[in-house]
Amino acid sequence: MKLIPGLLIHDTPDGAIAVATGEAAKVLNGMIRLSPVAAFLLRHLETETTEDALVATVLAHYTAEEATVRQDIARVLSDLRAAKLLID
Amino acid sequence: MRVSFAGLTIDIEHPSPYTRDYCAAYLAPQGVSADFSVSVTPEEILREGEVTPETPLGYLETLALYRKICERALAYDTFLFHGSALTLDGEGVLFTAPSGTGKSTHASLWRQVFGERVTMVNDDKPLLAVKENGVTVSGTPWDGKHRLSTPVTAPLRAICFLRRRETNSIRPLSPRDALPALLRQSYRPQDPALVEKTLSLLTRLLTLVPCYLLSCNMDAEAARVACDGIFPRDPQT
Repeated sequence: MKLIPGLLIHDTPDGAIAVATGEAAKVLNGMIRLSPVAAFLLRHLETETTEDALVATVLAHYTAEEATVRQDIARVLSDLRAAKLLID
Repeated sequence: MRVSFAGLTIDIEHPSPYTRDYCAAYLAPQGVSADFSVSVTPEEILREGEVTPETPLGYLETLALYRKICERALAYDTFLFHGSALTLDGEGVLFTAPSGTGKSTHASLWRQVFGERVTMVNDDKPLLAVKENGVTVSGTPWDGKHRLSTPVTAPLRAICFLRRRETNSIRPLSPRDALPALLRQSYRPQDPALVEKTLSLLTRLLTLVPCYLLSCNMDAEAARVACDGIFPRDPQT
């Protein structure tokens, strides 16, 4: 799975934002603010990956329980699918 | 033809008579070389909209040309912003809001209240240049249906986001709260690399130019309230 083409992740002094261009602009108008974890995940979704690979990457960078990480990642992926921003 | 604005000199290749007339106030001085040139194809012109008596083919050509210019201008840290810009005593103020809110009307109140102290920079689509120590706002030929602009470049002192209310008030707007509206009112190129450049310029702009939320009606008092908020120590207001 990966993000649809055209979703830009941009850092601002107030945190990361996602802005849609091209294909992504057909489903996302404006911008969305990203938590540090969401920004981290979206950057790793810019190339083809799997849910297990995302979990492993997050666990390598953050100190957290695997179950919690899986739950959080599943929620982010669900939100992305609902917003039609994810290609499975 | 060669035109100059916002610190840029641009060759427009094969302009129609409509475009020549449209840009006549912005001809480049003699002897200045061009930073870049632009031209448009018939397909690019027709992509700008339908040919009607209000928007003839020549007008669509000017839109297509401005689109090309704005995309090239990003390389010079300059981008298009939708708003009405004026100067008061040489300092730039930019009013922005969704179409129909009253940006141009509010700018006209400033002319009414402050008279010759005000210069209209651009009533529709000024160019903003983000420099190391400040931002400038410039007049261009693309200045709205009333053709209100002046071939000047001025330091940008403030950006005011307008909303219509019964009573007038102004308050500072944080960069975090200003960014979504700034993004909506900025030209968004198709090329993701140019969008990224625009975002970088907006992020830098927010560190250099204060933003305000102006709630206002159509009375002349709205201009005084706005001015007092932006220029709090101005003795003449």
